[in-house]
Amino acid sequence: MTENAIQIENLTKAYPKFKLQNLNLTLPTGCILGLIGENGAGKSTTIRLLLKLLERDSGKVELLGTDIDAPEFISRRNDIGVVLDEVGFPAQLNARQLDRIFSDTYARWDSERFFALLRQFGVPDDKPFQSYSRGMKMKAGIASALAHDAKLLILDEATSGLDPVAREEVLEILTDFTRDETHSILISSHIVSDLEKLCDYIAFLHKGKLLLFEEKDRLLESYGVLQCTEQTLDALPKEAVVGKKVGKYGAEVLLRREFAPRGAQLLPCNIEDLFVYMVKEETL
Amino acid sequence: MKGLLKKDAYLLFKIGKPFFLICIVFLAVLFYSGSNISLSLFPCLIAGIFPVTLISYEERDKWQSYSALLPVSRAKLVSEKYVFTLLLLCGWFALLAVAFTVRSAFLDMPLGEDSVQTFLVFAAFGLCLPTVLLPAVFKLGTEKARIFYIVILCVFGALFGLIGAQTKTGAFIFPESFSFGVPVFFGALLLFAASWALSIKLFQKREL
Repeated sequence: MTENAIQIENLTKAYPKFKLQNLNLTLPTGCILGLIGENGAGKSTTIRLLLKLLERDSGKVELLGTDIDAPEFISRRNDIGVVLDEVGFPAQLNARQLDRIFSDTYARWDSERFFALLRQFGVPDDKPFQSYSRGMKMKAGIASALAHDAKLLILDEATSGLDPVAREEVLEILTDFTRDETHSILISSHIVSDLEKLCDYIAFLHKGKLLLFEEKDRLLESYGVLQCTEQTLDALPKEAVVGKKVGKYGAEVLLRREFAPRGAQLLPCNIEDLFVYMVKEETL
Repeated sequence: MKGLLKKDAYLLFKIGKPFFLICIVFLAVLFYSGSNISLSLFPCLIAGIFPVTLISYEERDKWQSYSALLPVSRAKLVSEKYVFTLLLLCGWFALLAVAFTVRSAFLDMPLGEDSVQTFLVFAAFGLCLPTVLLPAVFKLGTEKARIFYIVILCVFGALFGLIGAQTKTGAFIFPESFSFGVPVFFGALLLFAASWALSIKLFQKREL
């Protein structure tokens, strides 16, 4: 078993109006990493670079201990299940035909598991994919990603378009998936509450830069929100302030707990608050 | 590659019904056509262009990105399309062989000596379009490769026009038979193989 499911070193990709800059990320085996960022932050670009759908300008990427440029990475893909924001199944085909195709493609394709997951999700196996709703296509994509004994799941906005019940079902399945210590997940999403329930690690991307990469629990323990006056805000050391909202009646400041003024009561913050504060501060 | 060929076979049966109909109609006409076998060219051309149609469907459905995530190399993804082209052409010629064998046996209408040579030239024509188009499609995608296709059509149109202008009638008339099928077919096969190798090279670095 490799120590890290994902290892990214100095990953860079430049476009005319966007640059993913020197990204360094590690996902230990057996853990779940949530990738959060606003639209255009570079989440999908990062995932596509990991999967070699895009060519990187520089840097090194290893998935399950295998360099993505190595010839053996092709067979390593048997161990990686992927669901992109658009699933990519041929519109005219149905799940039964896809099952036959994948049986001849993946080394460990499990038809029983595939159809069991489709039944669980309520997805018909005899209708063409073009007749599916977006949610059904996503569920079919998740079923196929789970049906070939993958060790690493990479999901790009895979729960978008799912109703709350389906999202909950998917989150349960993903949680079950990581009960096996050799299984890991990288998931990107706008739905921060899903990531908060699921993830062990959180990475914040903003305009191609990694703002933060930390264990979720440590993150929530390390930061808090201080409600104070503008004078108190001005008195705080600059390095303490991660983000702030200044209004008519005072300020709300996101800061690291160790920098909180003595005796100050910090309110807890969630991942979404953390992200919004950090992005606003970065934008300013 | 077996899974990929299955996928294209399923799609062929879904979207290729007009192609099958054309083949059946042309086969029926050819059956009673006497020595004129020039109609067997058109299904060759359609068979040759069909893989490009499949790729356009794949781009629309985002299957091209998805298939690059399968435990299959990009070289195999390209090779499958070339193999599928050859299978389609072989399929059409197998049908022709059966039809003309039956015709020869039951209707006493044997094929002329030049007919086999002509079929080989038509097979070469069937290989021409994918030879030229597939590298452009794998490099640029079907939308941009369409422009390339139009340019090629214009070049061939101008070429046939120029050749025709040299004839007595002033127009290019497609010959009914050829006597140099073997070298033409093997030349086309060599070019097809070169196109195959080029497509693999071009598709390796393409961003999906």
